[in-house]
Amino acid sequence: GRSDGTGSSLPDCSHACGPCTPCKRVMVSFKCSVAESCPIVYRCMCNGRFYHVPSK
Amino acid sequence: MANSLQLHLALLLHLLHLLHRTHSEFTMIMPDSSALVDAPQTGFSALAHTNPDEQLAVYEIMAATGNSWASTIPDVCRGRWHGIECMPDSLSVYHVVSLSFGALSDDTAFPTCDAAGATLSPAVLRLPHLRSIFFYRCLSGNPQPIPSFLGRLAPSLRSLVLRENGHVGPMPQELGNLTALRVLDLHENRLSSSIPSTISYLNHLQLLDLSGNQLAGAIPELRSTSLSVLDLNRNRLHGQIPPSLSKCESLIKIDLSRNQLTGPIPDSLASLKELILLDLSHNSLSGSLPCSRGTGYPSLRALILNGNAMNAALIPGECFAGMPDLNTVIFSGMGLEGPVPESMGEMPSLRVLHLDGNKLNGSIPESFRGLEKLSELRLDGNRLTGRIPFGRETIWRMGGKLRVSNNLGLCFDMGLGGEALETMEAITYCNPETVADGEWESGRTITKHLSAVSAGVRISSTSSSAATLAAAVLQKLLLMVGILQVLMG
Repeated sequence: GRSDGTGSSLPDCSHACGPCTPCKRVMVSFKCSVAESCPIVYRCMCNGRFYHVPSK
Repeated sequence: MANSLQLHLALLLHLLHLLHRTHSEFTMIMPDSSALVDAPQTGFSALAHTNPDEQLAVYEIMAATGNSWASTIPDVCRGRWHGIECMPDSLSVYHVVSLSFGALSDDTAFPTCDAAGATLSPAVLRLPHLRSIFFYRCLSGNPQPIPSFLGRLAPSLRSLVLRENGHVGPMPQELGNLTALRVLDLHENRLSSSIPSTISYLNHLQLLDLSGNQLAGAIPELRSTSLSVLDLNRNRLHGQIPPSLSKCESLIKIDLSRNQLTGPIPDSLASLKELILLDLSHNSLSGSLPCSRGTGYPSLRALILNGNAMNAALIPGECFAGMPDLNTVIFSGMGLEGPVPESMGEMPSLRVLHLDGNKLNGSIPESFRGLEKLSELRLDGNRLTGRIPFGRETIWRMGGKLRVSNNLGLCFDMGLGGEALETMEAITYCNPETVADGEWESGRTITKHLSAVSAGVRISSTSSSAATLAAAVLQKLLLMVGILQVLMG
């Protein structure tokens, strides 16, 4: 169907770690106190290194 | 008592919490165990593919920066990385709209460049839908001029950022062909020659940052009514500030500091209704200070003019009356003369005021007591006299950020105590007898003192050197007597 490309989607990490493979999507949480809700972000990860997820 | 203990505990807990936060980084890592797979999650048609010609161009551009791994990706707009953005057209064909390079931080890293051999490939010309090019610290190991072919980039290009990128030589005048540009950022390169006049064709420009280069010549005419940030600081620009700059009515920041600009600050700038920051420091500007004159500069928060020797300029009485948000005024080392206007004490937002290294005379206005937000005041190195009008609380709050040394005869109320005096080197207590007058004038004070204390000795207050010396000694003695009186009584 027709799409205008708006909205968001889950990041696809398959080619997001440059020459490093395999590149997997992980969720990363910030350490925070019990009272707060902890923000969670996606990162791509390969061989213990983080890579930013692709932009839209 | 119990209340204050509670307060202290709360504060301590808060501090511990803050400490804890600053040490925390992102630690908990979870594999993304949702049912969704690591497959293209495009949100639009699974049939969409990158335009083949653009795909080849991307391979070339990536290889030229040392990132040839990209050539193994079957479809660059589906297998994207952080640093490429694509948009589909109505026929489900992807087009490349943005390419970025360089590590802004460990956490936000675009593909980095091969330090020795990276170049900006002319293959960018084969990306007809490109809106943004971003290179940060990318070609610095292999210094090159900014290629003039960039002027033939897609007419859709909105943002060209070549920041700290090691570029040498002149700015190509062909950049003036990129008439859709919103952002032109060439900060911290080694660009020389003058800014091409073709830049005035960029009618949609919102940000122009050419700071930290070696650009000479004059500031070109700028016409974009959308321009909000103009940053040309740390260059070798000379000539005058063009009065026509006031036509860029969206300007919120003008930073032309550390150039060789001459002439007056154009009155027309006062009509810029959105202007928040005006930094013209370290030039050779002359004439009078920029003043509100009722309605000018209504949004201004920071006015920074230090290091311009505008000799014999006065601070007009009602200069800042129409600037309710002004919180920072930096007028150091400008050869300013005359008094500090009483009206400066009525600026409701004032936080930082530097008037040091001028030739200001008269006393610190009593109205300065009303500046409740003031946190930094430099009046050192002037010719100010009279008493310092601040209370103990203000002096404690400002601490070392209150600088009043090296003035002719500033003095300090005894009632404020010795602790405060420590923060004000070389400032003496006011003579209690003269405090009532509100004016400290050394000659007169000494005469009074002599007649009051050392009966029979008469020294006229004319300035023969022996008399001056005797007066100074006596002044010190008096001060000591005063301190003793306070200590014992």
